[in-house]
Amino acid sequence: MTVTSLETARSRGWASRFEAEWEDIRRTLRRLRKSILSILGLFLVLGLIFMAVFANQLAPYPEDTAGVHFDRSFAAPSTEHPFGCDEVGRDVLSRVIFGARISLVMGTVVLAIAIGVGVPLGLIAGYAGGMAGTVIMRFTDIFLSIPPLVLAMAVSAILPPTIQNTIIAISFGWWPWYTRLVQGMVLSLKEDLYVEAGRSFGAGTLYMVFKEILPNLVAILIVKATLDMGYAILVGAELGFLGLGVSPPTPEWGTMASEGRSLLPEKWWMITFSGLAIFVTVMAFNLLGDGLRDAFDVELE
Amino acid sequence: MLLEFENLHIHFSTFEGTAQVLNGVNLAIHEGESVGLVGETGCGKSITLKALLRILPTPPGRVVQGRILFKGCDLLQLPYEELHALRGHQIALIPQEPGGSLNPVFTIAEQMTDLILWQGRVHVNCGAYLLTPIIRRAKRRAARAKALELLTKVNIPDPERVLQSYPVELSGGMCQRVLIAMALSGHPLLLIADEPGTALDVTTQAQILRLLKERVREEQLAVLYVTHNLGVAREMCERIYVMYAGEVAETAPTDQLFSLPKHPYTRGLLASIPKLTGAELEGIPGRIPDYVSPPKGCRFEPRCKWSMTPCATLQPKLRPVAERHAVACHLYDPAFSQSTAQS
Amino acid sequence: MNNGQVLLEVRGLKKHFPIMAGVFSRQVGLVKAVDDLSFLVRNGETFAIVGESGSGKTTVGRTVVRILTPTAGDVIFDGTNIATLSDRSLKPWRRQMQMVFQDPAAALNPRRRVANSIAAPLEIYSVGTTRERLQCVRELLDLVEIPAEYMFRYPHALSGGQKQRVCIARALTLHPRLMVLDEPTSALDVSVQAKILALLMDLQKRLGLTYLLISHDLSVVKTVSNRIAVMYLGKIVEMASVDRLFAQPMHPYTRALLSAIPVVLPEEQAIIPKEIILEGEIPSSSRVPSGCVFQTRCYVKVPRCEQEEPPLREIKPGDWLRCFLV
Repeated sequence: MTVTSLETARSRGWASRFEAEWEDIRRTLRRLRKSILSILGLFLVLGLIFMAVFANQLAPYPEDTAGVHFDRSFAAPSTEHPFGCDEVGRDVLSRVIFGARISLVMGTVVLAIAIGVGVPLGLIAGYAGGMAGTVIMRFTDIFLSIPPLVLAMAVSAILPPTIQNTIIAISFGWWPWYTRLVQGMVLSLKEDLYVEAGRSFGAGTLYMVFKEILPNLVAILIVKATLDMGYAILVGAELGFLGLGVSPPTPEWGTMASEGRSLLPEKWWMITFSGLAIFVTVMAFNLLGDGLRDAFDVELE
Repeated sequence: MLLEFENLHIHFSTFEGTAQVLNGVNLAIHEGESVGLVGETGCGKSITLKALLRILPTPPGRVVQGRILFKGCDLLQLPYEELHALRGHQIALIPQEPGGSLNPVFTIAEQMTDLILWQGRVHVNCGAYLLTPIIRRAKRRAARAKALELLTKVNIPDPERVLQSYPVELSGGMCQRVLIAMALSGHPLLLIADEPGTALDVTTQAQILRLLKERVREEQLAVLYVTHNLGVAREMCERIYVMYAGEVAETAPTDQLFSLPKHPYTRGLLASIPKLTGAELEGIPGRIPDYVSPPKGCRFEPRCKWSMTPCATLQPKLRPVAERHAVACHLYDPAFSQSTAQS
Repeated sequence: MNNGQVLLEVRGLKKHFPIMAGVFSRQVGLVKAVDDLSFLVRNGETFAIVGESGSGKTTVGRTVVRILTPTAGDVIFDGTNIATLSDRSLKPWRRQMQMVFQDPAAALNPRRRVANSIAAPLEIYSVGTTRERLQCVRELLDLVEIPAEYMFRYPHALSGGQKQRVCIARALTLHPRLMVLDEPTSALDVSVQAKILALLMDLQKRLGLTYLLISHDLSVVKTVSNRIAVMYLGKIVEMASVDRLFAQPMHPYTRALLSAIPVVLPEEQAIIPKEIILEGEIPSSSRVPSGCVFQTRCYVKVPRCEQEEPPLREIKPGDWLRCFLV
């Protein structure tokens, strides 16, 4: 929007809704800017996404997601292969880059399922309460009592080792945390005055939940999801490391690390770079999540 | 002169910049005098209070200029030990929220005896504190007796029962009396009452205010009443300071302030209070200025009905206009002869 | 609009809250917040209910608007008893009664923009298209004197007074006939309070509204109301026109209440009774004293007051008193 059209819009009182939204985003970003670590986190995450999307263009040997080159087997890091080659001669750098794609997709879908299942359950349990709430929460407690990794291990041991099944296995352990968080928040939000005001207008349950309560949860959910992304990827890598995740030759960081474990310390490059990738990714999401939490916090005031 | 604020400037660093919260506050209290500090939300009276007691959070806040003189010595420069001996002993605070100012997990007896026993001691040895039940029995009994006596002084009908209760079992009025008793326990010279009775019902407030008046008169204390309620100030104070946006706008003896208010803000404030006589109500348009970028001149100018040309650029100083009556307003500055101002 | 007809009639209203305790959540007591309340509110007038904490005045407001359901009694709005209607049949009636709450900051959803909060009632009743709703919001903001730039801001950007104006605008969206104002200015500064009261009075004249004002501030009540009911521990102890009540307060509690007002002008001091300081404190509503509710603190009581409860008698047309001694 040009300056003049903005002024005209303002003078007519028709300040665009989108302009107001944009202003808020800019303010949040400005708060984010105040912390170096959060900026670092943001750029790392953006970098990872970029890497995942353009993996084909970035990786020097895109065909190395599969295929074997026994002539290059166990090549040390060099200019042609900055991260070296693995057991069957595949370029580690390319595999790490493609691994980003796998991990990010896994993390995203896991969270999508967790939120898609956990949040509605939490909303029902919190707002409706009563018998439905009790049943849902006790059911959630069952899943909460088992550590996510153990649960994921149990499930993926049963199912064939594909990406889809790994995702399903991890989501099993993830959704209950969202249910519990949402239920707790809804319980306290329900008591607020504006909820009472809404009811005095005759608002029905659906309206109250979606228009009044949910917007208050969005900030917290975004922060939690960002932090969880790192951990979900970590669990995926852990599964891969234990051999329960995706099957070879899929270039998943955990699986790669597992392959390289027994070859330490001579062939250090195989486990080092995939391990570093996991570390950097989890750190990045952690930093970003923390930064977002601080940035939103002031606004939540 | 018991207490004097000398040109106090306090700044707060916030996310948006440095907020100039107090902009040259001048205030004086003599021995045995009841003085009121009146202002609405955001005028800076709580900050003034906190600065006096040195409980201002100093990372974001800092005193950039000015002194607070208590019996001649600058409280802001006082070393911690001496300050501690002063607080609670010579300067006592009656906090605003009766329920929230008492620790909910200790009985009144425990809180009061702790206060009496450890008052003025800067470093309370942890071991000494824990061994309290065993070693200092005689002292404890004396402290409890004193607590009982204090509670009787504040007209609590059943002091023994109150001593054994937890704050949550007591009503607001009762808690307020306990807080007054605690404030009086150190035999202070200066009492600070922060919004006395605001959190209470009007009939309970009347009880508390009458109690305060009696105690103050009996022990000849100097009191600083910090409140937003002009009616309470009128009832309790001999002299009143009206604060606006971090500055003192006007100060006068009570009767004079209400019968001949000079500063436009004071007049606006008085006109806004609903009167039983049915007089017309008038609010003050606008809102308090942004402390991060306050107006260059008079801080009230954007909302003032009578603002003149110098008001926007020149800051008015507190200038006496009658006996003990001073105003910070260009309308009363003889240098600006257009000030034909008021009726 | 101001035709003197009765808009709201409350008869024998009771609202009791059970106190649950113990492992099995059994009822161990009863909080009689509102006990046998009856009053009339006519079209176009401002009827004030005055009392201190524990008097039950806030509960009355919420019960009339059916945020709470009455335990007993009738609430007759424009001829229909809405006390016992179900939520669904209540919906058309809710449009005609709206409430403005005490704390404007808490009454607005901090995560919804001003325009959305105001348009909420329109959404709930599916009135108009989005464009029409926005237009309605603009008109309402104009009515409550808030500049249009604030339309898409969040509530935290507004001052206390502006937030309350937004709440008032929201309450007016569906053109209600009765507005229940629950301490509308208690949370605001004095200078802002005056403007909000002026706005409310102006709106009443322009839109022909009827107000049920709930307040503890007698000065405010005297300025804006026509009739007052004084409540103590769930019961009305005195009810009359504003002029009569202030000129000749009869009930001992009313007199004590008036004398306790911290007034500003000497002329006001002359109007109210001389200093009457009550002893003790208001008893809990779960343990209402026997006989007259006020007898524990009354300074003119006789033995009869402790045994028998005085009925609310109409001593003159429009003047009601609950006391044996006057």
